[in-house]
Amino acid sequence: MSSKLSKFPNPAADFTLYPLLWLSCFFAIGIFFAKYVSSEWKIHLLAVFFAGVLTALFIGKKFAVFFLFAAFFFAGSFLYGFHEKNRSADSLKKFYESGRITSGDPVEIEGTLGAGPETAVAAFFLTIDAEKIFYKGKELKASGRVRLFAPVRDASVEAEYEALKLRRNLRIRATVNLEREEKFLNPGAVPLADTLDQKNIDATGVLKSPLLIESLPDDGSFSPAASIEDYRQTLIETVSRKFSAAAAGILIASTLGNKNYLTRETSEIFRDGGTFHVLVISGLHVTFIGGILLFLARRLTRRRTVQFFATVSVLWIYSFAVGAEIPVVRAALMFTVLLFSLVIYRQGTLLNAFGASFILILVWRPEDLFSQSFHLTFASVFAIIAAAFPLIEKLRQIGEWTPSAENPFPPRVSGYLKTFCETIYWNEDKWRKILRENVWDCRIFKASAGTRLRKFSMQKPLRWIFEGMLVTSIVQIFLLPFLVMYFHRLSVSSIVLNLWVGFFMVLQNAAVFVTMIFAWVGGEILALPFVEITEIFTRLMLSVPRAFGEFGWASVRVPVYPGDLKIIYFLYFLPLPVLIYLLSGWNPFYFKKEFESEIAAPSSETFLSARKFRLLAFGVFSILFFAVVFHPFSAPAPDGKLSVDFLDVGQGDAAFVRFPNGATMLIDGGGATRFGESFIEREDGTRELFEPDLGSIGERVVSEFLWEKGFSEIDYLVATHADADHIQGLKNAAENFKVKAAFIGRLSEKKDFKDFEKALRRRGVEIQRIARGDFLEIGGVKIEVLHPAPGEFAEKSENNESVVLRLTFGSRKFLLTGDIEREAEADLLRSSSEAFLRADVVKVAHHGSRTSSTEEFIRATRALYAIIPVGRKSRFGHPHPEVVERWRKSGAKVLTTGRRGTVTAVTDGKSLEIKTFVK
Amino acid sequence: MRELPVICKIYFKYLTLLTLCLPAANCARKPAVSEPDAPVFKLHEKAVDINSAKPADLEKLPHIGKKTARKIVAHREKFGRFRRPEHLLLVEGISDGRFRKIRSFVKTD
Repeated sequence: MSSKLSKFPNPAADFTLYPLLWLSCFFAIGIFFAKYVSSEWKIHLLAVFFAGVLTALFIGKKFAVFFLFAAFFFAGSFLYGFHEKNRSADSLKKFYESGRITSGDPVEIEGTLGAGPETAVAAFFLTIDAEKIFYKGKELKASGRVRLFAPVRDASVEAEYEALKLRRNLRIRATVNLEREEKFLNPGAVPLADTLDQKNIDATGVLKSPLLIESLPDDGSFSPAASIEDYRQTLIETVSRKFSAAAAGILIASTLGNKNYLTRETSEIFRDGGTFHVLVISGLHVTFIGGILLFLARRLTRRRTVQFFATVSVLWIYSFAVGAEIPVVRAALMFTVLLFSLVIYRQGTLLNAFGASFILILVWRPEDLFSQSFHLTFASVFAIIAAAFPLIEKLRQIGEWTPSAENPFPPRVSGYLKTFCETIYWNEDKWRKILRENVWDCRIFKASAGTRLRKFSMQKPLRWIFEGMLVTSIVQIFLLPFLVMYFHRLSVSSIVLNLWVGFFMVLQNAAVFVTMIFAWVGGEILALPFVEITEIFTRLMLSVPRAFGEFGWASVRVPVYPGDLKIIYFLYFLPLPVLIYLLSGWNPFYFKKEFESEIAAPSSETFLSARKFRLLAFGVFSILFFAVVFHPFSAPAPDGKLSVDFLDVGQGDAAFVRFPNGATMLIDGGGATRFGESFIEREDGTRELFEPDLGSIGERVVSEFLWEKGFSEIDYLVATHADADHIQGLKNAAENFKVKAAFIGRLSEKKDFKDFEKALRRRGVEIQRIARGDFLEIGGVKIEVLHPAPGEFAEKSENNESVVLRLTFGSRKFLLTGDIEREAEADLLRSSSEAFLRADVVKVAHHGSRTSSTEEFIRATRALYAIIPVGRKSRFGHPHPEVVERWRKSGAKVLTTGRRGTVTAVTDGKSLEIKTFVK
Repeated sequence: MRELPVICKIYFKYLTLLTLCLPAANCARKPAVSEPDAPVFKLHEKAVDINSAKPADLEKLPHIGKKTARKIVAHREKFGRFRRPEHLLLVEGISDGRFRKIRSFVKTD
């Protein structure tokens, strides 16, 4: 072992241990090569052939392994190139990419339903496999998937949809405004097209009415999948009517694979505690269900092949029944391969099986190598197989040690570790049995706690808790860069919360199972107590994560390094294989024998001694770990300039100001006005308000933008007024970032304002009121409040009480006007001279509504640039053409965030530069 | 491998049977969806052909103002003829409710 420790990994020597793991690495590198360097699949195919021939020719030689690596490398690049080239030319994706169809235009899609309707509260989703489309009066042959969202407003609309009998394989024609374009155009946002590609969807749309669907004649063939879906749908309906919204949401997501019933509150609790993954049917679930099936199969038969086939077949049926989404199929495939390896070989080859499933999945979908869920699944499985299992095994060996011919001496580890391992693994009864069976007798000294715990049946639960926490911690370490990049969230508490939530989820599922059986066999009365038990388990499941969230212990939000510094996330992974290698070489029972002395001593073989090498590996890893978690250099250094980013938050306002000294201010945070509420009707006749878990603009757009820029703090938050499209996102900003101070003009009774205030209080920040005459100076920039006048609400409209700010840096002025309307504009004109309102850049009031931007006001500003924050399609018809024209006529250049994305104005006090995200 | 108690085996068999029966039971229990009547609307004798109507003709329709009439014509010019009257729903500003009110006054020839 010692010699193994001292050596660096040697591919040729270790190849035979797990060949497929090595080959899968080269296969993946090949795919990378094809994506970023060259995707000439014909040349790559030729290279595969040559490398194959060379491998065959030199099969006995050691260096043949390098030809084999080359063969797999080119196989990967060939497959990716081949897949990309042969993506059919008539796919909808290609139509959009080539500009034959414009995103947002009406398209008639003819095709078959790829699945039954996926229901949600007061809505459902349809997936159509397109066959042809009608666009601008032309019929085009098409392929690809379209996902449509259909809101169900009332019972009559529901009846109309039901009359259409939408089922898998039904041929229909649907007409919608089809989209494949980002809604919000800001740097840092994950492109919608990428998200759709990962889900294998070409475009999306909203069905305005059942009248826009036509059923077409089909062959009426029977589909077993459709019956499974019907059954699943009945279960979903039953569960949603029987249990509270929180309990039903969790149950439907975690067992029936439909996340649309999760309430916003539940989802946030799960996300905050880093336990959301238990709600999604993917790796963990499939493994859990596979594990239970295997356990049952083992009880029923001893034949391994029968166990394998029984488990795997049921698991695949389940995977298809819950919708067969890509992550589920991936996990099922992986489970099948791993189980196959266990049935045929032994545990030692798990890494090999891991490699096999990795290759298989990439052969199926090479582009998955770049998808988030692929990264998360494989990194966590790799962490478990390569690090967690071996470590647990070593600790178990230490704890269970009894003298044997192989390991005659006790483990050579620190006393604490030994005591700990013995406490959770030592089995006194087993040792007594060994003594009874042998002729010899001896006494060994073990930590007494283990035996005592065993007596009270506490040792096993404690062991499970420890092992669970160890596995979660190791998985988190391996996932760290992904968690930071994809979710900007780190949750140390998830190590505990995962166990808590997992435990109660099993109990909850069991209670529901009993409820359903009783309800089915014996009627509602029998089932009633179990409904209550399910609710109690749900409340318990949510209680601890909620408390963690309330105290702010659940998770911290972490920004990413911008630009080239992102390389750190790649570098982070480099020491990990070395640490795994060191772990695999660690033999707690190793004793250096006399004769080994210098011959096998590590120092004589390499330039570093084993000890120094270990220290170096741990040192490098620790530095990278801290650099990722504490992101010391992520925020940009002060550049002596004032910059204002007007973000594209759709219909809403958000402006991010960076002062010359590096201080930051967020003026409004975007948001979405809620229209209507949906309710869940329960069996007992009650109605429960349902707030769906839809991504908020403050989180998905504004926070995402700031994290991508590397910020974890915003010094000042300013709410111009309490309208949802201005203040809602500020609540998210207060939750996600450290804040020094927050300001508003008028306090409000609106819910969104109360939420914002609450979020600030949790940070220990009291909101301060500002009014005309107040000013602040930050880094040489003077910030003056021009409106509203001191006092309380005087106007009927809150818009007219918006905070108006003027930023002056050197000779340059910015005027930010909130949602003021003509009354407030007149007031501003009255209260100051015309010259006073002059500004180089004006944020046009109220999204370019006709109620604002009067001739006089525009004239007074003499703006060079008029920036209108507005959605690409505004339901209010913003910006009004007259307003745009008025600004243009005044000589200002008009820029809308809907068309240009983020508009950035930068000044050093003299010059002024305007940049837009979309050129 | 330890033998399972007989009761467990019976339980598993019962469970399997139950799982198989559930879909069948479900089919039997599901209430039949009543066929809704054919759409209740009668085309008005003076219904306007939305593919040839001028803005002035469209304006005469109930619930259609000057602005919407202009939008309908603009939509037609940009995206081509309406294949079905229902496709009016794709015109910005025409909601499901509004369309149902004008449904009997519009046609496509």
